[in-house]
Amino acid sequence: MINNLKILVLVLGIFSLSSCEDFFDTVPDDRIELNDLNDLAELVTNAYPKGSYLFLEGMTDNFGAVPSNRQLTQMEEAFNWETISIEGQDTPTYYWSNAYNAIAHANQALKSLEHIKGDENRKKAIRGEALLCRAYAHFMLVNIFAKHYDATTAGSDLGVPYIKDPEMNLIVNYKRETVEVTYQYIEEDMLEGMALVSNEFYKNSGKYHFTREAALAFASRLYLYKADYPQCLNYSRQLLGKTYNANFIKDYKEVLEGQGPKGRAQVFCSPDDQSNLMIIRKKLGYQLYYQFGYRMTQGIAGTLYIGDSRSKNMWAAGADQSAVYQSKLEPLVKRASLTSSSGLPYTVQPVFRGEEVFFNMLESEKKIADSETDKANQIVLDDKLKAMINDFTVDRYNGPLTPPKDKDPSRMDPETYFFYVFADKIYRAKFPVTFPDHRKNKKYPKYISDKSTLDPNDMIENPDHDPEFVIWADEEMRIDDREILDLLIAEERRREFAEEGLRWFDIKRLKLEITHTNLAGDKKILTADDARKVIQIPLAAIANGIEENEINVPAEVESKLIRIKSQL
Amino acid sequence: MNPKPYKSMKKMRLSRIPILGGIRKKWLFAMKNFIILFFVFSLNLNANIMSQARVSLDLSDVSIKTLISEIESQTELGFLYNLSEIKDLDGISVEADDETVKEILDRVLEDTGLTYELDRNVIVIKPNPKPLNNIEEGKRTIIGTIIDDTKVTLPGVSVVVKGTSNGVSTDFDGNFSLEISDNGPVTLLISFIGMEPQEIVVTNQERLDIVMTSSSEQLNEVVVTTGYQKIDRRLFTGSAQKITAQDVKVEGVPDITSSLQGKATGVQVSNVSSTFGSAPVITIRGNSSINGNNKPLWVVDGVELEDLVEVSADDLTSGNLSTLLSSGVAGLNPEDIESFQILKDVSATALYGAKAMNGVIVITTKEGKEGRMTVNYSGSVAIKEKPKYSDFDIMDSGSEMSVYRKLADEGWIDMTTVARAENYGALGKMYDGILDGSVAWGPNGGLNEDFLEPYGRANTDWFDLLFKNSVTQQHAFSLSGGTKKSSYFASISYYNDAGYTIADKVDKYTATLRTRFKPTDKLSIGIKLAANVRDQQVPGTKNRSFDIMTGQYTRNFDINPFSYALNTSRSMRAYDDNGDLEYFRRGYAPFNIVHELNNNFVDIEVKDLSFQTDLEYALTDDINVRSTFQMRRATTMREHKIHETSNQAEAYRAAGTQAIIDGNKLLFKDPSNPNANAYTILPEGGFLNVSNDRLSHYYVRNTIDWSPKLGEDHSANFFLGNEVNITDRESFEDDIWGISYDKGSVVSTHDNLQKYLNALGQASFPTGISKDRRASVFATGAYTYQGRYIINGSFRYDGSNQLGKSNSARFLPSWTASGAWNLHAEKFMENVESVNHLKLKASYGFNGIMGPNTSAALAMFSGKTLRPTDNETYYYIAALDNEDLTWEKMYELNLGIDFAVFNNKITGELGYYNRKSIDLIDVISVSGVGGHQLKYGNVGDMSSHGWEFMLNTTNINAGDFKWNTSFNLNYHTSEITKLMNTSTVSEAVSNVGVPLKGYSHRSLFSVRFAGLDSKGLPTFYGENDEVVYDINLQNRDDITKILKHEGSIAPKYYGGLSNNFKYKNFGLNFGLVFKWGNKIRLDDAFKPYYTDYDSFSKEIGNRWMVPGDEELTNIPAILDERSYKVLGGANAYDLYNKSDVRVAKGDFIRLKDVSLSYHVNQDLLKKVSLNSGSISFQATNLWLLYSDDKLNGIDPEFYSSGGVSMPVSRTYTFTLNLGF
Repeated sequence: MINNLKILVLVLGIFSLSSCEDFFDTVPDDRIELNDLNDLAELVTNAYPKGSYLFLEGMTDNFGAVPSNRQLTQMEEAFNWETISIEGQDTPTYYWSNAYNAIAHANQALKSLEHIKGDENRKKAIRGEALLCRAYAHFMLVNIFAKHYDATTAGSDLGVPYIKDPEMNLIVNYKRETVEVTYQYIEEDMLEGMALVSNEFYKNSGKYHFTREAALAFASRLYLYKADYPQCLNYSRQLLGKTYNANFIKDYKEVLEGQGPKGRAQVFCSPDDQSNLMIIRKKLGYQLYYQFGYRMTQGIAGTLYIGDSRSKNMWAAGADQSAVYQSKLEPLVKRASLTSSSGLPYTVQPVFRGEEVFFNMLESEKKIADSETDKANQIVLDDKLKAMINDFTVDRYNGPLTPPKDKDPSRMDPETYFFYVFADKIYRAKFPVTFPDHRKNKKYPKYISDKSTLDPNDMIENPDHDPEFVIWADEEMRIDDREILDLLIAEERRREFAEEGLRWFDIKRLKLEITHTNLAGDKKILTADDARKVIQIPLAAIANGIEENEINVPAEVESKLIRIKSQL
Repeated sequence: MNPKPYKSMKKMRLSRIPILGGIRKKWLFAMKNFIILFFVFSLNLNANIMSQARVSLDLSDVSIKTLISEIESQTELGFLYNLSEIKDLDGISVEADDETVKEILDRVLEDTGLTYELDRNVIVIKPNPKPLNNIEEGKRTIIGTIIDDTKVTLPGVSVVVKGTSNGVSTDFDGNFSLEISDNGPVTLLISFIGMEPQEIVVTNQERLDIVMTSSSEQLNEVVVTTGYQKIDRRLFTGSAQKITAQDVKVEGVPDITSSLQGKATGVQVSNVSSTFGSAPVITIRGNSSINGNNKPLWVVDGVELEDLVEVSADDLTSGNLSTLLSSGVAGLNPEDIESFQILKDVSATALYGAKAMNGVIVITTKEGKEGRMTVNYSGSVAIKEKPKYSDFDIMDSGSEMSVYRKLADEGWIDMTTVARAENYGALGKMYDGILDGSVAWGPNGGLNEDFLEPYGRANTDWFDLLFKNSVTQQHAFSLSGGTKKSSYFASISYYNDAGYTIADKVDKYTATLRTRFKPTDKLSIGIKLAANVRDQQVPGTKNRSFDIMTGQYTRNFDINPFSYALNTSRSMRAYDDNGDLEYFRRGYAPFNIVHELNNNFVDIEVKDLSFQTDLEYALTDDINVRSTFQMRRATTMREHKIHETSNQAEAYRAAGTQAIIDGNKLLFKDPSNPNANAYTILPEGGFLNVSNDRLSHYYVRNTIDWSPKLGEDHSANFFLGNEVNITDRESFEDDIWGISYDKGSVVSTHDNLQKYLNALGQASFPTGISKDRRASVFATGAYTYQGRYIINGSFRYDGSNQLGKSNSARFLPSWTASGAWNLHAEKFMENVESVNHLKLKASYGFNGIMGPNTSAALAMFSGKTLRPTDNETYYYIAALDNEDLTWEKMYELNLGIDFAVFNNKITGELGYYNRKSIDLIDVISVSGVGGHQLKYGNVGDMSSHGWEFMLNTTNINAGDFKWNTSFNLNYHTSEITKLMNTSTVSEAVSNVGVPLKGYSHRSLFSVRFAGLDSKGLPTFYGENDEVVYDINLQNRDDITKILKHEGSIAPKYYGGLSNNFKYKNFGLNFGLVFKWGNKIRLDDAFKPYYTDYDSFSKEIGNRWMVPGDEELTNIPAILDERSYKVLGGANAYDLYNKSDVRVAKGDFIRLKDVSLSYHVNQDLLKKVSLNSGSISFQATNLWLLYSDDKLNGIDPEFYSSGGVSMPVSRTYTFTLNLGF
């Protein structure tokens, strides 16, 4: 009997304990287990932030009040540089969580890469892409949620948490690194990633991934933002070469051939387009919301795009057509269901474009030229810059290839003439006091026209032929031209990337002061060093121990929740 | 010698089989070949005739074996005997000429110490329990049989001579034989648990046939069937209630679970839909989890019953197709069910461990009993009554027309709006006719009154057109019987519901075979085969979706007949003057509900098979080893057939005018050609949407049950075992576009279909797999001293694959401790005669359950990128690793008093429970830095407590007339004590409530209505009590400041009252159920404007019409176009639907059932060769005695969610039961 019992217990025991581990290791559903490099590549495919930073556009000088538009809380808040209280699509919180979500995908891939075997080259390429993705998402986060990189204060300015490992627990306390450390990590990841990444393994165009070209564009942006101009130049040139490279500039004629706003946006964002270096699908409603809130107004667009072929991709919107938008983003919707009338709006956005690298290169060269002490060398550098700008503007403004007749032979140079068209027609004409055209002083042409025939001695006696004046005027003009060059680079950037979100980073980076007049008619100024240029950390993150940004905002008593319709 | 009394239909209750005693053993005989025997039994239907077999014999001085073989050769009778017992019986001489076997045996066996028993066609020869004539002087023997009031013999009844220790127990057939003193009368004490004890004075009788009556329903149980164990009630300390199917069965209702309503304490049942297959929402002692599935665990014959498709408790009210597959019990034949045992507290459910936190309902099905074969037929015919407009507050078509005219005046219905209207009714039809020239304008360019006149008086009765006074029938046929060595129960049943509406019907077939073999007296083998097949048709439906912007649920192409009848204009007609179907417009396409229901439906087919074996082996006298194995396979196929002529298919190709092309969102707008017109992607044919679900379930359990013999005062039971549960589910879906059913189901798919689906982001993921692996070990022990003091303890260790790899997540230990005190057995209570039974009990325990959305391990799934070009596969992280995630847990304290007083005339129970649920899983908002902003974590705590009270009284028991009352009342309340409030306003105002810290499990919140403004627009109070037209429904902060707390959606009080009258063979029953203390959100009824497609409640007639009305009414105005534009995006009307004026009390009292039954007299039965017969008539859901007037006739338990949901109807059932 006792024996029977023993046997029984034994049998029961064996039954219940044997292969216990295997039994409980059964995967509970059709979740994926990462087994090979294909799996990892597909995981990294999702390591790009799906949120959009286009809420930043509302904070720039590209936007104005559109009284006929229906107001949306988040757009009002953005325009007034207040902390955005809404958390859905097109908000800082949404970008924050989606960027970190992308990082989590990259980190998971990096972690799994350690123990998955396969083709070494492929492995390297995947690691490269994952590192670039991780760096990119952090880079965007630090530039939105922290102060701009400033070598003097970066060591103490708060950056963002830099995440290098997958999260394993329900609640993990993260701390913000300094801007310096954040940038350092970004740079490390980026450089390693750039060295490893390979275009070889991508299917299709590869434009939805970090290609080598996209990585160079990323480096170009990073070093520009970090004010490391030689490096910026280095990586920009690796992509574009040393001069203007039309192969990385969008052919606007092609864009304008698209059918209507949707068709043009399709061309604009197409992976086939040569200037699009990296495209990310973004869940955002921006491209649909032109009847809502503050938008680019007819007035702003009018001053931005004079005679510009880009203005032809401009569409009026809103009840009174006072809002305008460029069809750069195709309005796409994932319907809640086939028969549903609601759904999730999304679009695809080129986040790195050849034009940006071009402008980064221009700006870096300009900065390097600024530090050039030898005037002659500086003039050579400046002329090269002017030539490059000329090429770009001829394309965008559909300018004639041969320069119009001008008395000044330097302006007849087909390499640079368009720069002078700009300099004269826009800046000198518009700001005669800031940029006086000394050549319009009658002394100047007199001397120029006569100097070859005159005795040098005579010049001294004839005040109209004062060489000192000419030298002085030329020098003044040169200095003004250099300022105009700066302005032109900045303004062309603004024009080229309006409604793509990059303007905000320039406002921060270049310490621009901008003015907004809101619906109520209140004029508000965002100063050069305004604390509000840093976006507040999302509330949920603050609540969970992420240190908030110190932003002193004038307290305004306004319900963020209820909008009373006064006209009812 | 006394012949064995003829056994009448032996319908023994399972609960009466004493498991602990060894009574059965005495009567076990050696059997040469039990299988053959069983086979022989099964072939013969009428034992009566066999026993009358006659033989002619002429034998002298033979052994009894010779006699037996002689009889066997002449008859079809068989003999069973133990050779050693009959071997001495020689020298028999018999002469008989056409005598019955009975007569011969009586003669032969007289004074041999042997007797015989006639069991169908088998004669069992056995020792005579009556002692031979060697009794001591002055003693004599009295024999007898004890039966209960249903004529079932009672084994194990104690028969004791009063004042002595001289006593015996009855055997398995209820017989006893006792030596008593020959001098003078003696008094016998007859007692049996659950029966009224009797004292019988014996004078000179030799035989006593005693009928015992139940002391009360409640104490009727000798054993408690926990599903794992049949445990002696005396050792049981938990809170459990047994309900016999007979007591609660609502005839004609295919799902017996709904009838538990109001019958059991602590069990709250809401019959949310009456469509076949949809499960009622059942909670036991409220909800223990905030977001988890609060459904109780169903156990059938010891094995967990998995639902065909997993549907969360909240989704039971969704009206989605999957709700029809949510009830596992629907597949059972109600006639097979013997009883329910409801296990409520942690002590009772201890053995189930981490799946029973919400209580357990154990169903025991019928088994064959030893005895002759009984054949039962039960048939019922039920008629469901159509709903009537008079029950609801809906306008007639004349009044509707006047509202439509008003709409026309306001600019909502005119030539231009009709041209682009998605839906239109009579007025639209007129304009459409004018547009194409077939109808003329009215005088002066006004409405064509001649055209409209027939619609104005149409008064279409949609209920009448779409519903039927349908007949459902149910037939069940069963055979059962057995011998000492084997028993069987076999049943088949057929259920047919011809349809409550013209669009639904059900056929259900079940077959069950349960057999038990006892090859030796130690081994018992049970085999059960069960199968059921269901064919069902329901109206075509898609799943509903929740629009977070408006806080409303929408369901496209909903053709639910009930919703349709309630919400559709009565001025539209189903048939025109010529009797042809008349079409109006819906989804830009022609629509007629009758046509649609005939051409757009879902076929559901369920095939469900299970095999179960139960092995039981008596290792020793007091150790039993048992092993149970079950395998189950169920496949469910749903085919949504949308025919080519249906509105749903036509809507995909409605492109008649430019306005429709622009408006019809179902057309394909080719992204590569943005300026071109949209076109149809379904040029011909309809749809076939198929979904298949497959369930495979394996279950193994091994247990050891030890009841050591510890002497008279001590009794104990130890139980230990293990179990393994494997459940795999697979689902597969496919949509076929362009199928032409009329052309032999040829499929023509449009070339651009994939592009179309991609453009809308509708690439689907048609397969799903879920694998559940659980294994557990458990042990429990119970001890009682003199039946007075009982202690109980249990421990269980569960493991699961659901929560990932960390030990804290993978394994869960649970335990309970409990005790009870039988106060009535104490000495000091002996003199308190009025108290028959008084028991105090207490239990405390810890249990857990797998929470919702449990993924402790990294969960990654694949998807297809959503891009215009360059699409590829990607993986996404659905849930991050969460090593902290663990089971939801609960501590429960349970206190109870059971009592019976005044000769058991009043019995009752009072229970109290207090539950602390901890580690409840809910969404928590984290920093988002790890990759997910919202995560699931064990962040919630909830405490709840409740009282349960039950009273059963025998009010009158006067001979032929008997009146019993049973009443129960329950109180339950809960409070969430810890939770991160992350709900939005739109979630909080939804009709299923929202969990918030500081409130009950699910509380209903409302927008605070601030009256109508001077234009009849609804206004509300905002965050700071300012008056507004618009509230951001997405807001998550301060929702308690913006909203008003209405109360819990779960009732505070609920219960039932039933009365049972018996007069001779007649029985009359009526049962009331009631609930109060909860709130209900009324259906969304108000819009800023309407179309001529909508019906109106009469309330609309009282709407704001002229300035000043705002003082008189709360019904908002129908806006004119200008005001509507001014209102802009303000969601005032959505808010009005979610405001505090649109909330009703959920209180109700319902006369749930009334039944009248008649049991045919035994005399009469004999004449027609029947063993039993009864007829009954039952009316269910007869009358809602009280409910809030605001509900306007809508059943307070019903969620009007469209789809396949249908309110519970008034039903009349006629039932016939026959036993052969």
